[in-house]
Amino acid sequence: METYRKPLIVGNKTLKDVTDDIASLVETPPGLGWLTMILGSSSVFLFYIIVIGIIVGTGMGLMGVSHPVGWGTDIVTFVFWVGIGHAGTLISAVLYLFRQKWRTSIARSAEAMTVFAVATAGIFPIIHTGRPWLAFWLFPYPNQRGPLWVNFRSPLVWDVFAISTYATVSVTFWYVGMVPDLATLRDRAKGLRRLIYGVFSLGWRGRARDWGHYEMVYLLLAGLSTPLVLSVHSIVSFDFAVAQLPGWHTTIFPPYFVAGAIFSGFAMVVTLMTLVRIAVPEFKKYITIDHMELMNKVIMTTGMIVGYAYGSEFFIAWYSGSKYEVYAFVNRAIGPYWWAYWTMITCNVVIPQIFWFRWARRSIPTMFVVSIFVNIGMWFERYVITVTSLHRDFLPANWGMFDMTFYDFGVLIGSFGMFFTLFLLYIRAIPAIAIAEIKPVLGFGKGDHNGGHHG
Amino acid sequence: MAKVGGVMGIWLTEDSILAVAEKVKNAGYHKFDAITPYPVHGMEDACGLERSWIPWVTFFAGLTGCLFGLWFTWWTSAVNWPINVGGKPMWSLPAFVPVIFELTILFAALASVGALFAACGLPRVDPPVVDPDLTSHKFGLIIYESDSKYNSNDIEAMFKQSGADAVHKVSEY
Amino acid sequence: MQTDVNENSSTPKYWLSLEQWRNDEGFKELAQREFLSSPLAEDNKTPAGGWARREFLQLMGASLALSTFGCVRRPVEKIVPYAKRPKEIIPGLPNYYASTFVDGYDVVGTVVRTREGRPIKIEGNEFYPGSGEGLSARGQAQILSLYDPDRLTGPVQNLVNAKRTNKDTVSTNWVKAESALKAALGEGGVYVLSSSNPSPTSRSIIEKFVAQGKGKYFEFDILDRSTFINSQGRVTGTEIMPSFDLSAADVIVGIDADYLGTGVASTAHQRAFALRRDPGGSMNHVIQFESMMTLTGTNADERYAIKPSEQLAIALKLAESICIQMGVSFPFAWREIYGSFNDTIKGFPFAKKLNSIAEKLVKAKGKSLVITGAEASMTQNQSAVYDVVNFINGVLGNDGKTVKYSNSVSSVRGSVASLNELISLMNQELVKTLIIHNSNPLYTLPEASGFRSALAKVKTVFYTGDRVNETGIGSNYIIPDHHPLEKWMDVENISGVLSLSQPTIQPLYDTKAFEDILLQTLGSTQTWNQTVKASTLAKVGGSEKSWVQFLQKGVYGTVENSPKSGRSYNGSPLKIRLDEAADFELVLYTTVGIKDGTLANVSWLQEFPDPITKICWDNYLCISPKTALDSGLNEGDVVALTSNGITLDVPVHIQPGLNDRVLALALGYGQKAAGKVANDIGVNAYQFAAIEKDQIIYSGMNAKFKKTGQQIALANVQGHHSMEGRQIVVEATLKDILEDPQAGQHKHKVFSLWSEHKYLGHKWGMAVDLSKCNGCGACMIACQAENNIPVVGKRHVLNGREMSWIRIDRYYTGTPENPDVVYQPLMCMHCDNAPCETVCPVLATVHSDEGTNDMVYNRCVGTRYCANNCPYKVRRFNWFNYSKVSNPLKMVLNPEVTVRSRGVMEKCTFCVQRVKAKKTEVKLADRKLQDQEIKTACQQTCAAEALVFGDLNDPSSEVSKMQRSLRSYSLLEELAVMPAVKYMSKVRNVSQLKGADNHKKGGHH
Repeated sequence: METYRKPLIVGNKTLKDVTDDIASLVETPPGLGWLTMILGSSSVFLFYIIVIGIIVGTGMGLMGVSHPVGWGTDIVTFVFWVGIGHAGTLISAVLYLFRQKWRTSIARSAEAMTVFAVATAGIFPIIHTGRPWLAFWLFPYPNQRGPLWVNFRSPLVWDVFAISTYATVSVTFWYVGMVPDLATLRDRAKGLRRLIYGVFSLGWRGRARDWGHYEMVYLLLAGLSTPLVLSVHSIVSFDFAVAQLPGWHTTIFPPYFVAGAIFSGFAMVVTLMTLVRIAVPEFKKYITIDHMELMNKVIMTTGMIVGYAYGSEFFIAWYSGSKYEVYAFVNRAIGPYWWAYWTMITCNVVIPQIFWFRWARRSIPTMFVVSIFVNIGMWFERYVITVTSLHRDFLPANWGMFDMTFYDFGVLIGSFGMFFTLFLLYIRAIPAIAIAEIKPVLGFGKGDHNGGHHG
Repeated sequence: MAKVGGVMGIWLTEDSILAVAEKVKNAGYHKFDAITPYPVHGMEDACGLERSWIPWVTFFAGLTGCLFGLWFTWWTSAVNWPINVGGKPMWSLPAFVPVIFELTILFAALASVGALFAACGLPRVDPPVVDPDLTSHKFGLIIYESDSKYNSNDIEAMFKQSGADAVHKVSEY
Repeated sequence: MQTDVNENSSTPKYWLSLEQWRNDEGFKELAQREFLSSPLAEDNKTPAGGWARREFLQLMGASLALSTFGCVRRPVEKIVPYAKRPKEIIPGLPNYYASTFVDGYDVVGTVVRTREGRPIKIEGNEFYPGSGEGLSARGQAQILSLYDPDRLTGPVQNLVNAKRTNKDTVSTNWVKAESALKAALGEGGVYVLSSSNPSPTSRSIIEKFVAQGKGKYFEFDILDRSTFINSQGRVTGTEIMPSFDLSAADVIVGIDADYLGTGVASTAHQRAFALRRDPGGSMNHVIQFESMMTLTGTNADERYAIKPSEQLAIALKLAESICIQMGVSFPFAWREIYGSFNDTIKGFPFAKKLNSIAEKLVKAKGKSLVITGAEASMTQNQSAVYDVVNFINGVLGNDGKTVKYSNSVSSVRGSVASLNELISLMNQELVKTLIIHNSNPLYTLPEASGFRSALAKVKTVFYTGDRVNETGIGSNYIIPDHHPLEKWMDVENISGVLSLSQPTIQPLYDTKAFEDILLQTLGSTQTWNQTVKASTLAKVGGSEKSWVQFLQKGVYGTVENSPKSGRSYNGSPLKIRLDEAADFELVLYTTVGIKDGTLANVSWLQEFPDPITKICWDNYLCISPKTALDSGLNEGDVVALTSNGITLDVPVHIQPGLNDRVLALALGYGQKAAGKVANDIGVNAYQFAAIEKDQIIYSGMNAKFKKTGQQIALANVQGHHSMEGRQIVVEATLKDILEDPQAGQHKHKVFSLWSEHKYLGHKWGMAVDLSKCNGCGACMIACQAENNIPVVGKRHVLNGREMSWIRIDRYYTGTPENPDVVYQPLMCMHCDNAPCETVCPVLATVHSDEGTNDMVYNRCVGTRYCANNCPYKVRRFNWFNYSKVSNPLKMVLNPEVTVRSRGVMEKCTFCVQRVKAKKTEVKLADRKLQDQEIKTACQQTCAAEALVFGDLNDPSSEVSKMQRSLRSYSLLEELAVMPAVKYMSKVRNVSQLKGADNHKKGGHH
């Protein structure tokens, strides 16, 4: 095994090199590229905040949502970001359980992406409500209004629990993984930086018994995150599946949504990693073309799973014999929103097929473009599910259309501003690659006697 | 805990630190510990540490979370405020499963991390620093003065001849 | 200070505001006014009518507050509350006063509900003959016109130029205005123009006044019926508008008649009509020839799309074959004309049908009816058509049976002749002073009528309107009359039946009853109120007691049935004018909501979707699908429409069931000075009308149109117009229903996985009989008035954001050329397994133990999940803060119903406030709740009695009976949501359904 496997890190790095390489990004002042990026994204972020302010101040009516299409851009984009949020945990937890050592060099950033994506997603369910200032009512807390609790039958309450649990656990997971690296930075730093990293590294010392517990907890968290990550998007899919609306009321949704989440998540990771490789050339040694290729394989596979789901939806609709179901799906494909549907199919099913070719899997520009298309396609998937099902349901008299307004585009674009701002700040503040996790897979200073363990 | 000092040697490779750990253990020392920048495979055996007890915490915390969720959903919707929602039974267990599940995970995860903190004595604001590179590329091994066989000179000698890069006398670690 | 406050016994012991606590002068005045105030306060000479307005301002400010604290206001001079209601105002309890709603020729007895002196809702008066508790959408909406912010708050004067076109308006006072009038009276040449005046007393006063002023009193209605009355004279010898008894007619043939929608006494007709649409009883057979799709046409069993120029041919053909079958001689004088129509008649797609229709009429002779008279029938040959139709009724012996001459509609008085007489008098400068009352001629009369130019020759023009509208601009003095709800008025609509309007509120503004002004100017000592009482007292029995009873009942006299057969027609030749066929004939019609354009500034009516087109906030040119195809026009394309030498730009609406040669445009729109709501909405179709010597022409004018390339989005509240073969409205023929009451229904097996909740005590439910519902939409406005439902405006309606809690879905079945139409009122179904409840995260919508689906506004966070999950999509969301209502509009709000804030969901509550009120009443009286004691607003106003609300746990209740009927089905039954509302299938008295394919037993689920 070992002998056939290519080294995960290239360029015969010593332990010190590794530390220096990764830490340098945090320790040296930012370059022009980073500055321009942060400037751009943070100004979009600001715009986002203003748009939200206006919407909350005036009323949901500013957005395109109407009767009968009660959910629009907000929910679509919420599901989109939550989906993105899944790849991180998946890479760090599931691949960890499967002992996929190649994950190590991307795990940290993937987790960061998860945390930021979930944070971005979290905004939407709040601002999409009519009275956002009361959104906290969705939490069951003891109150003086007499017995007054939440409705545990409502998928939205499940969401509240799923999303908040997921956010909490993945932040914890991320942070625990970070502690030793923060300690490393602490020991390299002076003055204020030392103090700050000192605080956040919690006084980590790296004694053998510490590592013992540490690895155990890391394993446990991985084990817990795995069912969690699967449950979260299943529950998000329940928002739709539990409703009786034709086009939503589908049992295939949980697996289909999870696959879609992995799909879009990996696409986003590829997008970010290509950018990181450009921003920090030194990282090419750690995030190698092989890593990228592996992710592209995952993208293609999940892409085909999603494609299968699209197909089976139609079969089930026909097989159900319910004229409402049949109409809902026919209307998707050839109704007024055909363009959305076929954009989705093209981006999610057709384009990723290019990864059958090795050169495509290994060409940075190609995979970048494909990953962008997949992101677009996955946004449209949620658009198709939400809007086309709602706009024509049981009683034809209710049928209507959904048109996005300035504010819809505002929140959609703005959310990217928020996401990238957070991610760029992260790159500069935290080691973008898990130092302590990379070193074991370095194969440095080990005799052959224990090499086998790393197979 | 009371400050306990000792003698610490510094090595430069993973293999040597493993070897030294074995040696120290075989030499009959009990109160010693290895300090590494990353989890070194096989170090537990080398130092003769037993398996971490944290999984038990995780299990029972998870169980608590599950039972709490079960009780809470039942009490709120069937006892404290029973109300006809969509004609469904007051205690609609299937609909409550997602919430119960999430609570299970949440309790388990947070408890485990709490246990980790407890086990490693975190957080700690002023950890002693012997050599900053211990968190980067050097490996250390300390024998505490509380060890019955403790004798600084013998230990220093032992470390030296087992190729220590440096040997420090530390007041605490 | 303190003492004289205490003297006022009715001052509350506790204080509500600092002003009150400080015994602030202003507040005391306010308080006292409040306690003194009564609709009649202005009647006792002290204090002078002047303070009415001050009082209003205070009332306005305080009304809502006052309704909450120890408010013991009591009328000083009693006006007698409605019999079944408490005699005194009790705070928090509504008071009811009998009144009358006069809407052109649709006069309906009403009951006005007031709260703490504020009228908040109008309902039908069950004692009123014909219409009963039924009330039209316009009747419901009248309440809002009382609080119209654009009303004048006092008399104003116009400094007019020679052409009477300036808008230089200065406020004046009554003294000036009245002295001007007095002067004019002395000068002589005083004329009065008004629409048909249904008040005998008012008429006599005006007559007296013009006599004094050596002038004359003219009555004229823009929706003229005089030609029909004249025809009656020619045919039957008596020039009256007969009343039609639809309940006695087995076969009804309409030729451009709209007796259900906008015609004479339409509300009463709706009730009578519905009685005969019950497949259980003897169902009538309704045939309609019409050139515009009307409410009546959509409810007909057979409907034929014609063009106006074909009316006469059809009428003659029917007359001829009826004569043959009855063995009566066909009038000789008509032979020639009839002959000239031979080819036309042969050309009819329904040529063969005409004979069988005649047969049906003959078979039902004496129990049949032929009606015409809608605006669409007012062609240049209207008199001829009317003659023939009246003749047919005579031949069929319907006179005195279905066509009643006793109890004729005596309120129809205006005539075109009198208008023309007035115009010529004005042109001869014989008219020194013209008083225009209850009429807006400068808006309605086309320029060609020459009224405007004639008016320029009049020295002084007084206008009694309540706003500076087109006529207001053209007059010297505007002396605003009271709103009908602020004014005494005796009404004799059906001869022999007397009804009354009582003032239900202290006049809001500095207005004066028109008649009061006249009396004052004549130097009479009596006030208008006293005069009304005096003149009416005699008629109702003379004694004070009978007067009180009259006030309580609101109506006096009954419809006695003395059959009077008309003599047969003397056969004088028809006066007709035949032009060469036009490629397009223009039809100007009136809609159920806007009608002639009065009440156009009532936002409820502007946002009231037309029952047929479902479009609101506009008028539009209806063209047939084929015409649209041929001329490449899409919905909303703007065309330049030319007729009678006038061209206007109008958007087109593609109307199925319209004759390919017909263009139809609604009247009553395009007002320039009606107010903030109505101004510049649509175009003024009156411009296309032609006023001739003795008739107005609204129909059959030669017209053409040109595409302009512009587009106007028409606010259509309905997304799609076909049922797509789904089981939504179940239709069946009478034959099938008699064989199998479930005809057309596809039943599903519905079962539950868990044990259902039990509903002990009441379980509220509703039944909707689709055979009775005629789609008029009165329920929508009734609901709006009862439940404080906001208006959102065209832009948001376009976005699907109208707020109506009950809507009426209208579907077409069959071919676009000549479809059948079905209506389906849709409100919250209050499902036992409500999908909306399950998904609400915060339990803001939950089920009550009386089976209703309750909405908890202040718990709602606004996720809108419930709306998404509602299969009927009856939930409405407050996208903005619609509830912000300015004075005086907020005075119409029903204090019993929460005003919803921004961001919360709302929907039909089954009028829970009415249920609760009645339950309390029953509890206090310690008796059992009777069936039909609680009526929801929609049910109450429905003249057709198609909606029935009640207790499903009471097996004897009307609603359980209806729901048990095999004709009943639940909408979307297969979803197992168990709606508490059930529909009864729509039955048509035909052999074959047009949409038959839609109603094949649906696939198996």
